[in-house]
Amino acid sequence: MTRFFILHLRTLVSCLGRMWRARLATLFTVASVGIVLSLPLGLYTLSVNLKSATEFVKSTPEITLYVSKNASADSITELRSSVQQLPEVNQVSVITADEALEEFKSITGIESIIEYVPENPLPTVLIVQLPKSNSSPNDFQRLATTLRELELVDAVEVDFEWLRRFYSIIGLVNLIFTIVSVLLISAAVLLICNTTRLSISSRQEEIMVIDQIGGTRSFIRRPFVYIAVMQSLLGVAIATAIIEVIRLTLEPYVAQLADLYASPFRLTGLTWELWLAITLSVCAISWIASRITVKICLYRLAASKN
Amino acid sequence: MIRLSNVSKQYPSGQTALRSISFAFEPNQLVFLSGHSGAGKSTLIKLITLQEKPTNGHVFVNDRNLSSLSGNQVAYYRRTLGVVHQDHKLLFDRTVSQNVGLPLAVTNTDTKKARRRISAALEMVGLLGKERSYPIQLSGGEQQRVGIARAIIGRPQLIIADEPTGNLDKELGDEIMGIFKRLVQYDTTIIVATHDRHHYVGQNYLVFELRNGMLLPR
Repeated sequence: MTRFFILHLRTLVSCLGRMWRARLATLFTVASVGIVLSLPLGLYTLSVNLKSATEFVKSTPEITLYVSKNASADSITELRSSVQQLPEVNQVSVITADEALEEFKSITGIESIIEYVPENPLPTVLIVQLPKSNSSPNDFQRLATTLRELELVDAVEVDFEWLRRFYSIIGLVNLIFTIVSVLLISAAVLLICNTTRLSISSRQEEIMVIDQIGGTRSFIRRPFVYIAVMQSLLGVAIATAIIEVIRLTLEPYVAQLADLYASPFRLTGLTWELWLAITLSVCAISWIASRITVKICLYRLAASKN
Repeated sequence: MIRLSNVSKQYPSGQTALRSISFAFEPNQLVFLSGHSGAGKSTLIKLITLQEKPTNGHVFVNDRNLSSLSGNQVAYYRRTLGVVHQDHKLLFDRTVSQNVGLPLAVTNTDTKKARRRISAALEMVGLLGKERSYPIQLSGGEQQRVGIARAIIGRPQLIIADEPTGNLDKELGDEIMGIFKRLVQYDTTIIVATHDRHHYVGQNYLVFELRNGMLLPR
């Protein structure tokens, strides 16, 4: 086991030395990978912040229940408490028919005409407020159906359209971000694969000698894979630094703008859990891709030798 | 120890390099493979080092059929060999010490032990003190001696040298051959492919002579 660790430690040190000796080439590769990776990371951060910003902007989702005109005050109170007990409901407020009429008069200014109407035409209304959550339009639809089936409820009104549009836009934006991210991460991995290929090409003679003195395939492959993974790691580090610099630059301006709208919204960066997940994913992809690249290149090298 | 049984080699281009070669010899001696340029010496060496596989026949080393080896077995077999090339095949971005120590790096030998063995190998070829030099700073003869040090550092039972004196003048060539003659005393089998007859003529060495891919009767 110790020998195993020593072998890997030696390879690691030797690879670091090799990268240091070719520091300009390493810098160019790592910077390119970093810039390419900063775009999907930036898009993801933007998406998280957009979502957070819309949480502050969007109003609380509501469902309006029009109560039957025959309902008594007691039955309305009972209906209100039964709706309030539903787990999906945050708060229920009542606008009685009289209150609604008063409001209507004050808004429209047609008091004189309404005085000629024999009785108040407006029904009592229950405004059902839902929690600010990530509930989808389907959840609202389900709740509306439940409420529609309640006794004394004549009609239910839900403004689904804005919700549907909002979720469609968010879904579309996320899809675009995902596609662009996959393309850019692929570009970064291809960049690393090409660097590995060039590295193998420039070290053909060394590979031949090591092969001749009894180096196994894994011994020959290992340094190339190590360098590819280290380049990815440094690339992620550079990408993270780029995102943080941009975030810190924009933060005061965004805060100022949010304050103008009386919003507590503030720009957030990558969480360490997400950073770790991205780093591990990029390293794993680089490891697999570089292994495949090395395998193909060594196969071609052996074929050309013969 | 080494046995060739009806070995033939034809390259994909159609060129026949070896025709039904059969021979065998006992270990711990210096053996010469002689013949003109293109006689098939290098091909025979490539078959023993498993750089090539025979079209027909079998090569046995220590009773092991080399055709049966695959994957990492080939690598482990090559660790039991020491190969010296005409063009040294040194890595010019590495020091003498790093070049010589390459077979030990492959076997993950302990650093202290490796350092001792590098010194011993360099001492044997008369290059002690040149550890930190780069191959470009050495003469052709010294570079060839680095190649020999790299071949012997793994303490192989079999050393194979393909035209080791081909690029050297007579004096340096004799010096290199002197090293091989000394090495035989350490229970090592050495096969030297050479077209230069003066290395073995009049001496009591086993010589196999090839002509146009065929073995001449001794």
